[in-house]
Amino acid sequence: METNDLQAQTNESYQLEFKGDGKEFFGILLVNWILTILTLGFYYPWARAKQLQYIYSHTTLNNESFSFLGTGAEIFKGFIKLIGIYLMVMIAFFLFVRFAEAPILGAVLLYLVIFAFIPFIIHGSFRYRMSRTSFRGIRFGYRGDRKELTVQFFKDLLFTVLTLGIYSSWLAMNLRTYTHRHIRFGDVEFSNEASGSEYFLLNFKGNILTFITLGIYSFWWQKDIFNYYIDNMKLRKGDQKVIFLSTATGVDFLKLLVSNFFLLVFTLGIGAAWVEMRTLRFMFSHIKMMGNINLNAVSQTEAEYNDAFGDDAVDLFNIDLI
Amino acid sequence: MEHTQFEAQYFDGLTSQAQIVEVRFHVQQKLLYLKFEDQKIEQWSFEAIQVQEGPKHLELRNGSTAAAFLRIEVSQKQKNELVKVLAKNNLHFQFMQLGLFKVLFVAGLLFFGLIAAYFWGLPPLAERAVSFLPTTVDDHIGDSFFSTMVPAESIDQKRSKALNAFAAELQLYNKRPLHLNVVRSDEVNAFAMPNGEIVVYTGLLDQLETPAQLVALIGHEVSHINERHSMKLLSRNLAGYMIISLLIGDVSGVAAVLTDNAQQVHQLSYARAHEQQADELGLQILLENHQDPKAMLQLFKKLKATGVEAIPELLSSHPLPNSRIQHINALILKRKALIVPNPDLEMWFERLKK
Repeated sequence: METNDLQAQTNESYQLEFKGDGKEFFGILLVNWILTILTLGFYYPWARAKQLQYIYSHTTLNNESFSFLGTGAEIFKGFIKLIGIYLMVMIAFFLFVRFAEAPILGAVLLYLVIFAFIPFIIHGSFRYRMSRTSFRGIRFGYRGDRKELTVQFFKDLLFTVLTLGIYSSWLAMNLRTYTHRHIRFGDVEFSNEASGSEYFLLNFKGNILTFITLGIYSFWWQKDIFNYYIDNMKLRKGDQKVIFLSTATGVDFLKLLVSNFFLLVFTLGIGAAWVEMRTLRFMFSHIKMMGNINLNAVSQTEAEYNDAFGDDAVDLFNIDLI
Repeated sequence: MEHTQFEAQYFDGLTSQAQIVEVRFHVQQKLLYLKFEDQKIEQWSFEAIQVQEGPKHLELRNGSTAAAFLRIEVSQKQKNELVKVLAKNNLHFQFMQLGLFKVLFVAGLLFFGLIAAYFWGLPPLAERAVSFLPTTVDDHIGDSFFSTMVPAESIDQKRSKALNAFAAELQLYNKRPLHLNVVRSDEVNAFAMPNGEIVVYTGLLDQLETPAQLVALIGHEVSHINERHSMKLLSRNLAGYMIISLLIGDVSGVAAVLTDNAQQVHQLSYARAHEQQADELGLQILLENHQDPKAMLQLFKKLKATGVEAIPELLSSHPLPNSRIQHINALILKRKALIVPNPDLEMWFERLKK
């Protein structure tokens, strides 16, 4: 077993923690909310940057924080670009429907164009977010190739349509493994071993058991998905490596999700800040890392992100590795 | 604070190895001095320094994208002092300096201000906005809905012709051409569209006993069109959603669901105001055309007796409240009615009934 091998040579210890505080985070959301309203929404990108900074700087590995170095101005530019593209697409769509008088063909083309943008946005989001993430002064980076990702995405999308959605498990996992395998943390490489067939079976089982148990199994299904995501992640540096293990159980998920639900409902949504904090605390406290990569000896490999990269800087999706 | 000195960790952005440095803040010069173990000294100006707050530390960077940074362990008090000095120009940090209590107060004020704007400021403004819209917009929206809501084969052409002839005999104060349709359906219903199309289902038409009742019905529907009610509703809904999305920001899905329902309840009461206005103007039309005003009440009773919803209106219907009947009844008692039989109307009404 690989795990046993590793345990024999595990000479490093790692402790992941999330130290965010509900009250503090609520304060940040509140100020964000006020400024966003007073600026008629224009503050939103800055609000987002602020929120990410808080979350990153309160996530610690062996008591050292991660940093998010993105700025509101950068995210703002990304949004403006997206809005511009969106408007152009919509205008083109209306003109097409108006003059070609083929609304169905128009709608099909519209969907195709929207789908075509998905890999672009994923690529841009990863590229931006990773370049702006750092730990102990060492940058993360995303080295995926946009063309490769696009080709793979469309191939998978075609199979998904042909199999009436069954292939979507493979699509999701292929996206996941592709993006994760191209993430770098200095000279440490990420990898991910997830496979579509395993993910499909997991969801298939989850679906059926959730149905049979009238929904009760859904917490265990959630746990299975979380564990599958975590257990397949790996770090590699030369012949050193780190593996990830989830220690979460179905009961843990049940407690978390039920209490989150009540926290949200009884505070009319104001408890969202606390819900987010305790969810992150939950996740990080259930991730165990084992291996022999020395975190003090990682070297910088990713170049400083500069404006030449700006082309595909978007921060639209929440890029969570989990 | 004048010459605060700290021992800090410095990460050079080349390796993940930390170095210990001595850090000195010089507030008057607005400079920060770093003294490395090899006695080398670096200085950063306060202007360029970017601050990030961690749980028990601050991260300082010389420029926003610099990989190298300083990590200073600080107490909460030191943290506040340093942030005050270093993040002078940051709106968010400044706001946070107010303290949670004051921020909450500002947020509350803003929240109730928006709620007030939503309930009292918005409807009149949105309605006024409609008068700036050309009526071609009404046509466009009406046209696109009409073809999907009323299939051509469901229209009774012969009776529609008679209904249009009936309406042509009336003074309806319409500002745009009207087009009335009799649609085969058991539903006891009728509705108007912003483009001037009025639809009357045979289920309702067959229950009408006098020409005056039909005038009451047409008068009500025409008033919806004349007053551009559906456009006003649309305009108000759009503005409402804008305020709501501002209100929610990105807080949570639960709030979204709650406010969405609030919007619907509010919209319903708003549509009721439109119904009442259409009742009043419909009554006016009855009187101007020398028809019996009581026909309006008779029409209400028909709708109520069938157990189906109220006098129908575009895309939504509500129970017919007694208050609407009482309201019209009171108006009828106040008004003097001059009833003159109109043989043309009776003739077309007879043809319609066949």
